[in-house]
Amino acid sequence: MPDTILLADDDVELCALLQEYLQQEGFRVRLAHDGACALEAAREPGLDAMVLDIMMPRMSGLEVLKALRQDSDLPVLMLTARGDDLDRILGLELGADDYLPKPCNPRELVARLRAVLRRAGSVAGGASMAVEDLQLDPGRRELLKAGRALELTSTEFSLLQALLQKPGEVVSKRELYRAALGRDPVRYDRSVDMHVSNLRRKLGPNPHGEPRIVTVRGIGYQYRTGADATA
Amino acid sequence: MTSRLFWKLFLALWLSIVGFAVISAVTNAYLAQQSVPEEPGERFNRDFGVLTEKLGAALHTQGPEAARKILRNLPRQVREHVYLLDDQGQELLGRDFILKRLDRHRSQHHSRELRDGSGRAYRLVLLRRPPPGPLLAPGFRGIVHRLLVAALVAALVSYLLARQLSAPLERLGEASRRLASGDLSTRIGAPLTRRKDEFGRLAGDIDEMAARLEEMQTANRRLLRDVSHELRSPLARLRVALEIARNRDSTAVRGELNRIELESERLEVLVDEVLDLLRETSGTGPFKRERFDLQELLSDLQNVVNYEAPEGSPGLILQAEQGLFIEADRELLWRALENLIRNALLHTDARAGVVLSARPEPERGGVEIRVADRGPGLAAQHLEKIFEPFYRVQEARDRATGGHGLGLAIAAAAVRRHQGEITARNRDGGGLELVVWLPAGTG
Repeated sequence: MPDTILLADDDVELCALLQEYLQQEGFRVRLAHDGACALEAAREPGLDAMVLDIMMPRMSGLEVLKALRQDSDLPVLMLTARGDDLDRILGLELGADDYLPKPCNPRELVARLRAVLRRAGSVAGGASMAVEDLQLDPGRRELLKAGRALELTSTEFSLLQALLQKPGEVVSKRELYRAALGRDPVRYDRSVDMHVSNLRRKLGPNPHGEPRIVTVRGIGYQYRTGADATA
Repeated sequence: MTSRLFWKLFLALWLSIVGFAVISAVTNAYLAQQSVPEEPGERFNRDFGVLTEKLGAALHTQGPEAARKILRNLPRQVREHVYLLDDQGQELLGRDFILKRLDRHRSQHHSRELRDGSGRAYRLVLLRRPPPGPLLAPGFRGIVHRLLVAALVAALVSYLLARQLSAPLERLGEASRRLASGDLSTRIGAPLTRRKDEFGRLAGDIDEMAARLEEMQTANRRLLRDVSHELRSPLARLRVALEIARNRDSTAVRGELNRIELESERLEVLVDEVLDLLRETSGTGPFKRERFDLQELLSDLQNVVNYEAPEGSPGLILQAEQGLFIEADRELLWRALENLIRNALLHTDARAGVVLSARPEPERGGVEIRVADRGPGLAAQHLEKIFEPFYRVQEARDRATGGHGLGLAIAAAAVRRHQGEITARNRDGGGLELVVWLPAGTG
């Protein structure tokens, strides 16, 4: 069964072309040409991912994303104007899974889409694990903190999984990019940093009141357990 | 902060007023010395003769109470000249303080002894002039007192006047510095623009100028954004159409399709670079100064660049110590340096890599950043021109490396927006070295 993608972009001609191309690549495609329609379409059932342009009439992509994230974990790939760092950072903060600068290479778009879908759909994601008060179940893509479920996007989930597989060890950024985004970092890329900061916010401090994820400058990130802190 | 202008104005005013006071005090003192002591006038003698007799008679026949009554009933101007002291030295109206002054200043006075009925002695003192207060006292002490008061008053007046003149200038200067550093939303505003004098008009003019500049910048920014959107949209469609064509049965035209893709990529890069350059040279791009450690930025940059380093090459080698704090736009500086480094990596001998170093500049202050490669270097006539847009040293070589001769121009524009400098020179032992100097902060 082919994956169904919602393509939200106000450039009608581009959408028509992308639709044809994505169909050639084996996707089913739905289209939306403004923000309000995009939000409506994104809430309809049967959708596997969304490609969301930031610059859209009636409701910007960022607003769509913000509204959507209230009640949906639909994987979102964001298209940002090249060089507009603010949109990119805001988008990732609001829970976009990955981004591509516009104009994008269509082959790159398909590769990113497949990576996002693979992560979202992955079932055999490894054994479940428990570190301190966190319980992570990759099979059900579920995270419990002290027995209570936490809502994470699929990218955040993969990122946390990669960190928890080696608690107390530094995981390089490159490794995290591959685990969470299925790709290598590109120029001016801060995606992983943004996802980590979202994760930090959602997880809060560990039971000892200390930050869970620490930055190791120039290398990557480390999930610090209570034992590391006291050592 | 009180400006130098304030102190200049203050001191000039204050010193001139105090100087004037000193001169007039000295002159007065000199003139006072010159004046001939006044002879007791006849009128004085007659009037006070009468008064003396009257007081003497009253004392003798009716006692001190009657004398006191006479004194009290005298008109004020006369009373100030007449003092009657008993044998204890007590003045009858209680104006004892006068004695001390009399002693101190030796004012001209007459004194005569009177007696009451019981034979007690009284002294009648007749002053030629009423005794002066300490401020008006003649002699050195009086002059010093007067000068101190004059200096204080002058200081107050000078302070207010200097403040009045220097404060608006400080405000104007601060505003124009902020405008110059690119913050075009700066306005001087009330209360200065409400002043009716030249300062008020100047402030109004500057505000108007700032508003015009801001308008132009906004329009320019909008134009750039529209142009960039309009140029990129067809390119984006072109590339999707190309992929669709490629997915069809296209073996016969594969070579041509590849060529179309290559050229559209070049066009895309060119559009990006031209827009970047326009943004930097017109100053319409965002510019946000913050203070940070340059070493951290450089080591992040090294990480990013070295992801792409080929096997067996040292890639980018960083030589910088921590704690190189500068005030700059982080994103802009990052892009500028990345352009320089990528250019160097394209031309260097892969085995040698590129050395990126940073150190404090001892003479001018600020920081010096060097990007040194081991490439072929440049002929002397090219050294100054490589920062010009579209300047190409060698057509063929740059085509092969995919550059448009804009990367260095963009970097140079970004460095200049930081009020920095960029130069190129050949290294001993071969290779090119690009030297960037950045001031430590906004002076």
